[in-house]
Amino acid sequence: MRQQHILFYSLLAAATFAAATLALAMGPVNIPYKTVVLAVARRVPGLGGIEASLPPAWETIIFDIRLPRVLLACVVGASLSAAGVAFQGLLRNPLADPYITGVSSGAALGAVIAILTGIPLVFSRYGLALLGRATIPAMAFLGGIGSVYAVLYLSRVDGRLPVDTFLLAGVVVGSFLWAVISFLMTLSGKALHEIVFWLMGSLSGRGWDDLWMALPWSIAGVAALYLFSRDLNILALGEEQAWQLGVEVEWSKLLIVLTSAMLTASAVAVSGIIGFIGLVVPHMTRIIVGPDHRLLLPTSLLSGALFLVAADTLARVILPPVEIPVGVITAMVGGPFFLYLLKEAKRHDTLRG
Amino acid sequence: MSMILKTRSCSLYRALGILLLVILMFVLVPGGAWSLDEHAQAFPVTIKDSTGNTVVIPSLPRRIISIAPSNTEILYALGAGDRVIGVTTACDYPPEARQKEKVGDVNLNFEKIVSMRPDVVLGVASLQGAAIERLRRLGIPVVAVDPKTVDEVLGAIELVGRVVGADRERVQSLIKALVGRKERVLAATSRIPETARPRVFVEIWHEPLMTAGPGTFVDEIIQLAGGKNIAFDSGNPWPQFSEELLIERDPEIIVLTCHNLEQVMSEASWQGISAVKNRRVYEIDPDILVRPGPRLIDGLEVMARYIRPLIAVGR
Repeated sequence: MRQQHILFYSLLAAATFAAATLALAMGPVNIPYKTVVLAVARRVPGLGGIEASLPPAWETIIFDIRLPRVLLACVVGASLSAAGVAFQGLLRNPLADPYITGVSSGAALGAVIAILTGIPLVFSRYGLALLGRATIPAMAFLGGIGSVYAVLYLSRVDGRLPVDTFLLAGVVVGSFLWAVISFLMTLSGKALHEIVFWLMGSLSGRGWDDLWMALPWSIAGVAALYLFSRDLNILALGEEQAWQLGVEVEWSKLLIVLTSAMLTASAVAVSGIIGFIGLVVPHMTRIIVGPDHRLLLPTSLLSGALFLVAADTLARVILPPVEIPVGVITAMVGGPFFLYLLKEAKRHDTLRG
Repeated sequence: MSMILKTRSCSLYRALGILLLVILMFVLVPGGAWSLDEHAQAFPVTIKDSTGNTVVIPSLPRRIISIAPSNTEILYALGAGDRVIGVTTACDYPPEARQKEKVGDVNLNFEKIVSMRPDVVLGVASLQGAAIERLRRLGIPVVAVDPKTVDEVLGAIELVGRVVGADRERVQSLIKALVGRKERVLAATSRIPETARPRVFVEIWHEPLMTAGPGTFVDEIIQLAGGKNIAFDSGNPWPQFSEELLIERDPEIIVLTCHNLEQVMSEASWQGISAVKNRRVYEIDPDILVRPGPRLIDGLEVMARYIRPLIAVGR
């Protein structure tokens, strides 16, 4: 059993690595695969002395455009999938996804306000370009966290967090915020395009800044969730049983919700609302590895990274030079694949049963 | 069957009507220059507009509504600004136009237009097809222009001049001046071979990165001004443009339309681009590059000014 897991992990990790290297070599500008590999290898410490002459434009394209974007796809995919696992486990609801708590609408509202007020341009006008670039993600992050606090505040009764109230409050707060966003969009004029683009979710034009902004939250959030994976397993039995088994139910629930919301908000802040990953990747991995969160969480993480890197690469190369929003690909490719897995799993269940 | 007959007889009547009108015009309209007092004599005017519709303007229009900023600019340039009673919220030039009653933005307020009882409404066919149809069904005379090239803009100015009965001398001198300015730019640029043309990138939007491709005035103006649009091969007129391609095609001139010079100059991955290195990044008022009105020639001259130094230096 143990060995099987190690094999599976290494397979997933290898596939993710392969997809990432492939993604580095693909794009509207045609750079030979060998050149890319050599260029990357030259920068790996300890492999010095590899000679590769590279036009400066290609150097920029590989290291300042493609590499941060591929890494960011890994981080965002992993964060969303991990948050999805946590929400599905905690709420014991197969329809739960990272956006169920209204994080996405809160984040979207923050981003829309940042775009409409033109704060980023004001900052860069006064020589604070870096701050300008951080404005939209920062506002989105705060909006996302803010909406989760609102949902928690609305749904907590006597220090307890009933799951059904929490779900409903999330949906209602989400709808309310979407109405505000729609209202702002009708007033937005020229910026409408930018807003729609942000809402559809994309990794286009993202660079190192965005990666550094998302990475710390992602690492912290994933590590924290892993510590809770045993609690998640027990909570899956039902809250009463969990209580009897010595889990501080309310306390764990609150921390898991906050951690997952933070993970989601940090991912949404840098990539917009990329749908489907947080819903489907946890289900797919659960079908493959089973419901144990200690295994489910790390594998979902890797699968999420792999899935988003692959989807984003497709988004870049299908219709060059136009880039398709990556959310379109995740849903169009992920949907049918998920249905296939679901059908297979059910068939095996009936065979076994 | 009866439907077919009906349409056929309809068009027959219409053709007869037009013929009659044309004859009447020849009979009624005396030759010679049109002075302001003689405007009334020039009407009725029959016009076939760019949607193929024949519109009869019975008398000098005194209540004009413009539902496109470009038409508003043309009307003012022709001296008909005081007869404009309604514009859109986007009509911001000349500044006086902002004081006019607003009849909508991208979406028009049809009730308001009808209630203002315009003598004629001026629209743009390819952008406002549905709205124009709707106005016509509401019984409002609409003339649609639809210039696709700089020369067609001059044609549209002439057409608008006829519709609103602008002073003929004034129309002619405006067009002559615009043609003269265009020719002056072309005299310096038309013989530059393709390979010697500086590469130009016009940024329409930064996030997502968008530019203007073939089929736009921007593209034509770059060409006329002696440059080469790096988005020459994009399939649609306003494409999203990949940052990778931007870096590989290395534009020597970047023209910005969103007043974001500082943002662009500090973009880390753009530092290797020639235009950024040599500080040939310019902010421009996008309206003079995209609005099919008289100021398009301003856009052409500005673009030529950006491009000219690069043609002279070492080429």
